[in-house]
Amino acid sequence: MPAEKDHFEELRNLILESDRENYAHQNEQILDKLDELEKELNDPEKFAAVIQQSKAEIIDVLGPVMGKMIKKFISSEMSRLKQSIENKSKALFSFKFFKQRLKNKMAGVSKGDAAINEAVDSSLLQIFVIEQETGLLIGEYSHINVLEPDMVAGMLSAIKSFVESAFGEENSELESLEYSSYKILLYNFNRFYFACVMEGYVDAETRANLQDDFLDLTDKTLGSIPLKDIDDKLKKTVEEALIATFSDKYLGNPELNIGELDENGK
Amino acid sequence: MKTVSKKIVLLGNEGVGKTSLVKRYVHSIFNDEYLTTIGIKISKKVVEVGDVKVNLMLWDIAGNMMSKTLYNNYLRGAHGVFLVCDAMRPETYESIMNERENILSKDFQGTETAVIMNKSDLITEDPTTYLSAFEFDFLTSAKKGDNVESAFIQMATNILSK
Repeated sequence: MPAEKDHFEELRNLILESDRENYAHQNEQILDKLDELEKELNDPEKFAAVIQQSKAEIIDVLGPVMGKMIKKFISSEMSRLKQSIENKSKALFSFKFFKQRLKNKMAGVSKGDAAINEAVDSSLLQIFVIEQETGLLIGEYSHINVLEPDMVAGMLSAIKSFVESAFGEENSELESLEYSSYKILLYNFNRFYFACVMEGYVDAETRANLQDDFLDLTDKTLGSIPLKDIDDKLKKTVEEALIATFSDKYLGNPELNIGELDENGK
Repeated sequence: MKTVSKKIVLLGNEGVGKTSLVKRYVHSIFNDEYLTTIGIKISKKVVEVGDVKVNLMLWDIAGNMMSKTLYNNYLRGAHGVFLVCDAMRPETYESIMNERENILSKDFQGTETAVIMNKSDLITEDPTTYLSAFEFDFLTSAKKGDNVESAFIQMATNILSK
């Protein structure tokens, strides 16, 4: 038996020696490759080259996500810039500007206060919170009496659905409706959307402020509420959240004047 | 009394009487022009089921929208669907049965559906014999008001019991 075992051992060494050598060689190659990769990743120039080589793949993966965000940001910033230029150019050449400056000087009003007072008026008349899927009203906050908010919410959803199906690109959503001096701004979230009925000129700043408020409201309260049953209890919760968010800011005067929200103009 | 809101969609070919069913018994603030412009009109019907007040938000879809992509979006999230046909036009019954088979049974499985055979006032033959070929949940007459109220109440009851 020992003799047989020796032969077997000898045979195994003969057969597997080359394999072992091969494995050792491959392991070395793998380790070298890993070292090389680590160096590339730690070397900014080489890392840049790797990205450059895989540009197309990276764009495919990140492009749709980033693109949307960038597009939205640029369009919002462009809108603000345009607004600011328009306002300044109008103001600079207006008789009202010279008259107001003279008046302010005599009354001792600071430029900051004057700017706030001169802000273009826009009034927030009503806010609806509407479930995306059903078009049912989840909550509503208003300073004025509006006929049948349930039906208005349904019709808004139907119009939104119609526009998005008939004219919308994939994943695009209706953001506003205009009628005479009224504007309905729509802020879309996953399960619901906010519809703000505004009167007057709505500038980019106001839109952005409202968006911040809705983001905050969704983050703190509405984002986590269950929408399985839309009942009066749920509506009450939502309406209390709307009051908590908007009463201090927009109910300062009967016309809910957003132009006079706070000293920062927000 | 607790109040809940539910979305109900009315489907059916042109002229079967959907809008008449809605017009006579429910409250609306919008005129019928919306039906021709965007193919839909929203109305509201409030019914009481036990100790629950149910706001039925009725989405009346224009008959000529049947089988168009757009109307699938209007159906989204519906708690109940009324499939309405005209008792005097068997082809309208076939049409809603196709809708039920092709769309509702596939994409809206959890949705409560009920077939309304409308215009019962126009049936001149013996109703039992005439209607034996059809399967329906309610035989209504929007003109006379027969069974309309009970159809809405039954729909609300079925939805709440789900």
